[in-house]
Amino acid sequence: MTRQLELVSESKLQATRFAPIVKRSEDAGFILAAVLVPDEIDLQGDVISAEEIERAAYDYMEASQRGGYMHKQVLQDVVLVESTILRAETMINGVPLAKGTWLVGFRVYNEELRELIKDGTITGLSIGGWSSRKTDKEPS
Amino acid sequence: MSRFTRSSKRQLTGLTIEEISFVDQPAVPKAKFLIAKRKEEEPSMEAIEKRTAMNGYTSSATGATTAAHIHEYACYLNRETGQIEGYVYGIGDHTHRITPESLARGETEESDGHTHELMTVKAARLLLAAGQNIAAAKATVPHIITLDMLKAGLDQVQATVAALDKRIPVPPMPEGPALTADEEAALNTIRARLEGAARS
Repeated sequence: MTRQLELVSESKLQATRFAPIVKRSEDAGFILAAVLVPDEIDLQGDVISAEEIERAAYDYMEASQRGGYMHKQVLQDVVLVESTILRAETMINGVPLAKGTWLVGFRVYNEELRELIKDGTITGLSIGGWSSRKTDKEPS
Repeated sequence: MSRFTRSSKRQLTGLTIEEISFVDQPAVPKAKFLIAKRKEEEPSMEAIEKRTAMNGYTSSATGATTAAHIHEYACYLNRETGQIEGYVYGIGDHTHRITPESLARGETEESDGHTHELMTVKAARLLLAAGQNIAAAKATVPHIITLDMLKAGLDQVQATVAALDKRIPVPPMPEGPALTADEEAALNTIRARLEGAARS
């Protein structure tokens, strides 16, 4: 019998996901990004359902609403001012966004961060959190 | 929903979002989740065929000539050379190799002016350096893997491959009664025809 090669002792996965900024004000005092898109298969074959996005979004709004910088630092001077689950396909700045997409908008009061957004250094948002994975069975 | 989509997707569930960060660029290509912890099952036949023995993620680049980023990496046993080899992927403009020497250091070889530490090995080393034993370390850091564990896993793959490569001995044909002169002549005729066919 072969020995099991075990790398972890729990099924939770650490997850981050990049979402490009789809809209921002000229002074970069406000940015909008589609942080989660339902049923979009990523490069590892993972997807997240619209129902799961909605639940995770509500939980985040209730329990956290935190904004950060590079997943290393919590920022006190960015404020979540918009959290929208799209109820129909929507076009923003020429970017088609699917029904069920979670959009978030932040007001940015950090001058240094505004400059980084304006000069193109900061290009998106990234959710940081935890998840589990369930593999779908091949249909018979 | 298409058959392809249903058969290939893996559903993420129980997502808990702790924070949403402003970031400079995707650490990996757009829409790709970073999996820092994962459970590797006993090496399957498919995995052995792919020669992938383990994988994980490197740390973010530090002191890099390019922006901070990470790679997914995989170590495997090269069946031709018998060597442990590795590679990283996930970044389009450069790549890193993992050699036995770099693996022993717990990092990739240099590329694009920087190296990456292999997260799981690094975690193990830090904890061991702090005086914690493996059991305690596993309890506190779920994604721990040590060099010894890695080597043991690869040894297991190598042993499995060796077993698969063993030839089943073919028993010798039993001796029959001697051929008569006519049978010998007929057999020679057949051999001559076969040799002639092979030459043509």
